[in-house]
Amino acid sequence: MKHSERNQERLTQSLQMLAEIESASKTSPRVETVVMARWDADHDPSRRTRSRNRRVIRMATLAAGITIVGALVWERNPEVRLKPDTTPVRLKPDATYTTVAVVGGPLMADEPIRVVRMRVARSVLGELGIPSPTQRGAAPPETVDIDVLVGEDGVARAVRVPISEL
Amino acid sequence: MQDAASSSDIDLMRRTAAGDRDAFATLYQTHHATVYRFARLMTGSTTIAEDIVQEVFLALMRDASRYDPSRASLTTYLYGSARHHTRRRLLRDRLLVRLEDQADLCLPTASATAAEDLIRERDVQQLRRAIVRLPARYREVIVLCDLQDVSYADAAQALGCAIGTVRSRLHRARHLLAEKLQRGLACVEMTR
Repeated sequence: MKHSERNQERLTQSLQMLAEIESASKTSPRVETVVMARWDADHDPSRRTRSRNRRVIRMATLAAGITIVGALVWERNPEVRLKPDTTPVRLKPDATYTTVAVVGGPLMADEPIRVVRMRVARSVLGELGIPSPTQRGAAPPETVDIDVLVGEDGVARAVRVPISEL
Repeated sequence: MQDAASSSDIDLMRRTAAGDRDAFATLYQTHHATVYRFARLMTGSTTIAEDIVQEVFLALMRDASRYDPSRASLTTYLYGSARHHTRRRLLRDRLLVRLEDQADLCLPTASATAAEDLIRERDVQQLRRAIVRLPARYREVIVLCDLQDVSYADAAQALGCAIGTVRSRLHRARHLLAEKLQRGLACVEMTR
């Protein structure tokens, strides 16, 4: 018999022996106890309810916190709420506005109104019946500042545009 | 018989996924020794093997609903999981100096004489050491095919490779083991 064959035979015998020895081996009961305890912990309904309650309380606390912080910021920085658009609208001091379109019901005498200045696309003027500057051969900016007159009920009453745009 | 066991495993897995404690306990009782032996032979450590058994069954508990019986039998699935956890553990412990716990791997063997016992024990110890020192890809096939009696097809599925690869690795692994054992014997002879 060759040397290598003897080695292989010896190896096969040793492997069989080891397999026999190993076939009897088992883990200690401690492992089973740990695994089953983990199962019980993960599947305990009262624990799950407690966990869900805790999650709800955490979410409610977080929402309340965000609300309080938001309210504080709102109160301390009133300009924040007055400036919904971060792009500042530069008023033209020399612009004289005139009412060119009535979009809602007529303005009543002594009716309190609010004037909201908006920067709109120049094409909006065309929709109000004002000829566009291109038709007049000029090359003005693409936007124009207009005033929207809003009644107490929040409905727009009229639109004013600068006279220079007419 | 194997089919019956397999369908029983499928049923137990289904019940485990539905939260049946008894089904999970039965699965543990049926399969923990298989996972333990694989991990112990792969790592050479009883302590690490027990940790791996724990990790494998906790993962099984979490992912029971994701088990797809059409892809592999539960045993093969568990071998795959044990292999994954063993590799991860060995990688993590690579930089640590492990206290040898080879002593607790020695189990008494039944034999006619004390001299035979000693020879067998010495051979088995040498074989254990040689297996642990094999590269992982060779160790896996030796442990699965030669020591756990897993078929080549199942081993290939658990290891995620072709049957031909299992065969060639096994051939190479046996050759390496025989060499290591021969060298070990030579050392013993020299120390006498």
